[in-house]
Amino acid sequence: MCDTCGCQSEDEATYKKPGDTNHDHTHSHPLRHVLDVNRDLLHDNDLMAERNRGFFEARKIMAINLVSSPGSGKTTLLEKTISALHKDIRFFVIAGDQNTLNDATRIEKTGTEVIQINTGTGCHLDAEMVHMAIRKLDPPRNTLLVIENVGNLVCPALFDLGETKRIVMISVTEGEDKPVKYPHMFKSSDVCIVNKTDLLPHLDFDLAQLRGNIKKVNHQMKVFELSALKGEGLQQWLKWLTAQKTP
Amino acid sequence: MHEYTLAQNIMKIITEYSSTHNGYQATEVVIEIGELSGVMIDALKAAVDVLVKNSEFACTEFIYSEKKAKAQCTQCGHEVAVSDFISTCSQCHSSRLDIIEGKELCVKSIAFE
Ligand SMILES: Nc1nc2c(ncn2[C@@H]2O[C@H](COP(=O)(O)OP(=O)(O)O)[C@@H](O)[C@H]2O)c(=O)[nH]1
Ligand SMILES: [Mg+2]
Ligand SMILES: [Zn+2]
Repeated sequence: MCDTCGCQSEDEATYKKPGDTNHDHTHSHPLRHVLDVNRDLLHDNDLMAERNRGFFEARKIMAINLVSSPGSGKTTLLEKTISALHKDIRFFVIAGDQNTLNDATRIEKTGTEVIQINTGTGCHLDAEMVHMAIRKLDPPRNTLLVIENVGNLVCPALFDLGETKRIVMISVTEGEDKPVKYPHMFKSSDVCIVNKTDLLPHLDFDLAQLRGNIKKVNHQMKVFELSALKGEGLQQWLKWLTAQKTP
Repeated sequence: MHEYTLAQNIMKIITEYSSTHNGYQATEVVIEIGELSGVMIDALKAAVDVLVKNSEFACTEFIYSEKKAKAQCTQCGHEVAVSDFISTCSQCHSSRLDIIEGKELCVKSIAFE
């Protein structure tokens, strides 16, 4: 076989006369050259995320990327947070969902401006989508933008949206090993909210084990344990968020 | 699922480079994937295979090279090989490690001929 072009495989029959080289056909080998590309696959997304981040910084907007599995309670926490703090903080919301407008409708009832991004088959928001949404929303200076990501703990982990803080939520109905099963998401988040603590008495859930797993994956994680529905533990979260907003 | 988006990005990158190499064909593309990048090589491969079919890169060879992960201990500075996010330092047993290699996700090189 020809070492240069690999034009013939070992198990093919070859026809040679004595004195023939092992190259029994002629063709020219164009100059092969290898280009060092080193281009990140998320390059375009990361660039757009940086643009978003610049926009947020310039306008002193705190942008939160809120991620969880479907049904952990993201929208519920948002509703409660907005009604508790709307006098002091002006909220804007981008709600990601594959198909429905349900979350946007719920948020709108709190009197907050909201844009729904339907991703269709897409399983995550990307920086470009958020860019288009903030152009539409045009949040003014000193506001708080919450981006409720599509319910999914895998894909959104890779896509920087330009957020100030990434917050991952897990509810106590989901299993203590979630941080270890979805380490990318937990590793890349700044804050973890453990929701639905009101259900703890009815479940065989080991909160200490969950805490241990969170710290194992991300030793810098700030953790809040609360019930968005019943309100226990909500105060610490609200206090922290307010402090972040007005440093 | 995000592998599909990433495969599209690979196509975008090699299309861009090919457009500045008139008369040449991209014959070999090396894709580097960190062990802790969050991407499954098989899923990415499958997605690339679908996109490549019937494209100008149908005959291009795609090589997936996995990069091993490395972390540095924030407590004692020791460097350790890791294969997950929950490893501990082999020297001081601290779990406070920072990943310094193994998150790569890139088109490393393209061969034209
Ligand atoms: N028991 C209990 N249920 C909750 C809590 N927070 C949310 N839920 C319920 O969980 C379900 C999903 O909540 P939702 O906010 O829509 O979740 P999302 O998909 O993450 O936005 C709803 O039925 C909520 O009422 C909580 O703290 N305790
Ligand atoms: Mg929701
Ligand atoms: Zn150490």
